[in-house]
Amino acid sequence: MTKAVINARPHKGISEKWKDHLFGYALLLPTFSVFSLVILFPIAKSIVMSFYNYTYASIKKGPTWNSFENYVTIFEEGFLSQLFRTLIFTVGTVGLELVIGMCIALLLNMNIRGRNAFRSLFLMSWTIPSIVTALLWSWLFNAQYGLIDFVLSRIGLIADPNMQWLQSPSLAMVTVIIAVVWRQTPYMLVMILAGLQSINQDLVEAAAIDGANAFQTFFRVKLPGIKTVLGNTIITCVMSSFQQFTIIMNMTQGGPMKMTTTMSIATYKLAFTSRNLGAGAAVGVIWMLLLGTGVTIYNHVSKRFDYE
Amino acid sequence: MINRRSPFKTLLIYLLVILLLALFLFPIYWMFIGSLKDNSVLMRLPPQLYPTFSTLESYKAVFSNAKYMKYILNSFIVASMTVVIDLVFSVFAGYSLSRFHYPGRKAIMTITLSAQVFPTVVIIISLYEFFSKFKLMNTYHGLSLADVAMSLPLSVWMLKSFCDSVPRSLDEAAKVDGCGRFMTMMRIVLPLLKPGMLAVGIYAFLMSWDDYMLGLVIMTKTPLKTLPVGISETFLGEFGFDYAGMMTISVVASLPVLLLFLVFQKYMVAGLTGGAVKE
Amino acid sequence: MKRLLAIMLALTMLCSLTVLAVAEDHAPVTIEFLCWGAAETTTAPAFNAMIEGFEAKYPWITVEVTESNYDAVNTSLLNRAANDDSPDVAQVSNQWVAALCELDAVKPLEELFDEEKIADFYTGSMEGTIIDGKHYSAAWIMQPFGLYCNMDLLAAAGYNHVPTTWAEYIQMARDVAKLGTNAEGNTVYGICLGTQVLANAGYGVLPYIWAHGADFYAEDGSIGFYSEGTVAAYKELQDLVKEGVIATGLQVVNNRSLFGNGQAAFHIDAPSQVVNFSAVNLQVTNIPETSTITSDHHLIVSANTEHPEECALLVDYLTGPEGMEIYTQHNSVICARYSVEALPYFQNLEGTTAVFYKMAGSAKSLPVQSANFVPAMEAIAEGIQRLTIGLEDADTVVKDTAATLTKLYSK
Repeated sequence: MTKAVINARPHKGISEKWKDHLFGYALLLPTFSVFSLVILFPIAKSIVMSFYNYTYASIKKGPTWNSFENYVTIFEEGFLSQLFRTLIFTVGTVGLELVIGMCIALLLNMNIRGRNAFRSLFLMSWTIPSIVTALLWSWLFNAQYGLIDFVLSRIGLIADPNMQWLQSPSLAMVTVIIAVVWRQTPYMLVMILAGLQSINQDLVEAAAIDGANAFQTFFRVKLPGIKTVLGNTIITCVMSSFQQFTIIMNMTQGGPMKMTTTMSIATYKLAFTSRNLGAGAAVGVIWMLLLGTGVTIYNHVSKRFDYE
Repeated sequence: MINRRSPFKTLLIYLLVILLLALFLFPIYWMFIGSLKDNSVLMRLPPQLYPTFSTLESYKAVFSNAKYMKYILNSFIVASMTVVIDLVFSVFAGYSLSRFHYPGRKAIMTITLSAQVFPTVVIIISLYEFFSKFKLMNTYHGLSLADVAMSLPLSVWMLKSFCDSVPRSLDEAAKVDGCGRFMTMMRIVLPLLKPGMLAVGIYAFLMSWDDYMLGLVIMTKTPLKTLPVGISETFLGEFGFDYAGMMTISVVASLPVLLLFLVFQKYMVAGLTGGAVKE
Repeated sequence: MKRLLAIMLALTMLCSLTVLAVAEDHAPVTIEFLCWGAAETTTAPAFNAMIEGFEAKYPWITVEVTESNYDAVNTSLLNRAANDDSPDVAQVSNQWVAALCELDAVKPLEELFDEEKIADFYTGSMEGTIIDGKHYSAAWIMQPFGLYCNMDLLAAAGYNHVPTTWAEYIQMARDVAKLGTNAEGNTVYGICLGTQVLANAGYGVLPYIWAHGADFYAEDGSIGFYSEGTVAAYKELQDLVKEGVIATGLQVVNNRSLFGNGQAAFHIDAPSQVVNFSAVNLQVTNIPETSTITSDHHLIVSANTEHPEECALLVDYLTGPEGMEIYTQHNSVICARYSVEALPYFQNLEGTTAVFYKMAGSAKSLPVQSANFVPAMEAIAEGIQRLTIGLEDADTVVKDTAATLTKLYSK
């Protein structure tokens, strides 16, 4: 009804609807300006840079086009192992975060008193700055004076009281995974807990009445109930692990012998230590392609499952 | 349900929770007691598990060191600016996405969320050039803008969710009363967004305080460096063996955010989870 | 009257001409000096005093000091060189000069000083930065590395003197390591070796190679790294690691703390580190039967500086008797110019500083002539990691390292 009236009016300037639209767009301007300046343009530039010979020397003389040479270089420099290590790191961190976070969330969900207080206390390690996390865990894993070597050797789990963690090719990855898990698990925990608490309690009670035990309740009622939250949180944690830089850089610097060099560390080192900005950008481009593919697949798969 | 659970089971649950909590909080405890000891105690085996107030020397050293004080001040300034800018921008954007259904709205929401997908480390490769051109290198507002860009996606999302929960009828009533669009947003809806704004503000502060990579690239002059960069330079370089100093500066770097969080944690959790769960 | 007026006019003209002449000679100039000395607490007082002294001597020159830590100065110099924005004068490690020359950022000394003055700088230290026949940096401080010995640990192992032969050195290290732990319950080691992938860990291994008769360069100037001597040196190091004589996985800074905490018998390091070892009953000596390495601080002048004369004055002041007199009042440093040797400070040296001073003459320059010096040292350090942590075969590691070095130095 109202529509007809509006259309019948002679057009005087912009319609109300479009005034609304324009206002809406205007409000978005600041946000998108910042995105453009800080994210969009630099990323576009980096993508372009990956096809040029961009080293310090060339900045002065002008960078030259070298098509896919940078990409060949990064594969020679071990891109596949960096990718592999990134996957191991991500699976390790997100996996542990999921398991530990889920356990704690389930415990806290059991109607215990002081649940909110406990939750806040668990969240403390999430607020500790990453650099502090790196220093703290480096100190705990210190081969000479660290607490972990001391405790583990006293209780007989390890033989050498000065066992190297951060400098051991096999164990360095463990140390960074533990440090990151310590910092990130509270986030996972809080999200899962919130999800669990939003599940309709009637469903849980119905399951109990039907004689379901704890396991069945978990897998058939609770898990599907928190599916979306869980999915989104896992994706966030995966992306965060892929991007993890501060903690790894400050604990192991990507070593020893490059055993903890993930794609993030590799990009930084290529660009700023070896000063080959083009090669660093190349790693980034492949990374973004992989991420994009991964997210697209996830979206399709999750849409499929939504219809079940 | 509750009266069907045996007290034994309840006790077990409490014990497990407390055990896990102890494991998670132990490193923080370790950091605090380490900061109160000096190196001769720390570099000795077996390590002392109990706190001894051996010395406040490390604290005196940190607070009398003008360099560290400057780093802390810089971090505060940048974080505060980030909070203000982030709040303004995300309130605008969140309100816009919540109230107005313009063409491309869905796409814009997707783009906003995907902005955090781009690897920061790839951004910084070109950021140096862009910021130099726009004279944003080594400036507080430059680093703040960069931090804001990183916090905006989640901030916008959080505020949009909070906005969604404010009834539209208020907007319409205001419109009928002759309130302009801008005024409607500022006078009517904004005051009701306070919990959301608090959550976004704290989140932005936490992200900015924690930032290492952007500060590393943008602030190259020593008097402007932020705390994480300063700590990394000092304790992963020259003074890599000053463990007492390391623990002390760790405490000093963690306290502001810890305190902020403990006071406002309700809002933080609401903000984080409000958006995700409603879906 | 007329004559008086004429005389007064003449005098006035003369005065104004003199004033103009003097004013033109000394138009105020500001030059930028980038350094890390002013940023470090141990050397900041010396640097402030030297700059004050310089500005007092040349009142029309103002020195704007930009300070950063050591690594940041290196990065900053490279960044600024790439953007044609180099500081007028900079404190550098002689290891950085070649890379900066490649960016055309450094002015050769031949354009600032005459031959006589350039000859006043220690040849040994200046050798490393002669590129295309020109000197590109002025030697300021020499830091020959000495062998720090923990006399208490040596005494506990039955020795009351410092090692004089290489074999003795290795044997003493083994015996100290056999002690196991020290009084505080910490593990005790014989030798400290930097094994993280950093440049200083790379060149830290050179004395070991030299002691076995090998060298970085072959006689014809090519990379002679892969040789019997090097492999023997690497094998020896690997054996020591396996016996627990060397602590692995440590950076040089961690080794300093290890030695300073009384946990190591021997540590090879620069003279400046003696302040960190005040708790140790130590003696410093030459590394037995081999040359020592030296890490020198030099000064460079920007190729595009607008005030070359003033820069030359600053370089001359800092490296010469006046600057060094002030520097040595605060820190025990070793000069790099023959004319500075006459200072009373250097004539009356005692103790560890005297030992280091004597070493300066026989120190061997690091192979810094290539812009790829730092990556080359990192390549060596990576090899050391493979050797000591990965425990790979010494021969393979040396061969691979030599191949990388050849590639890096072939430009």
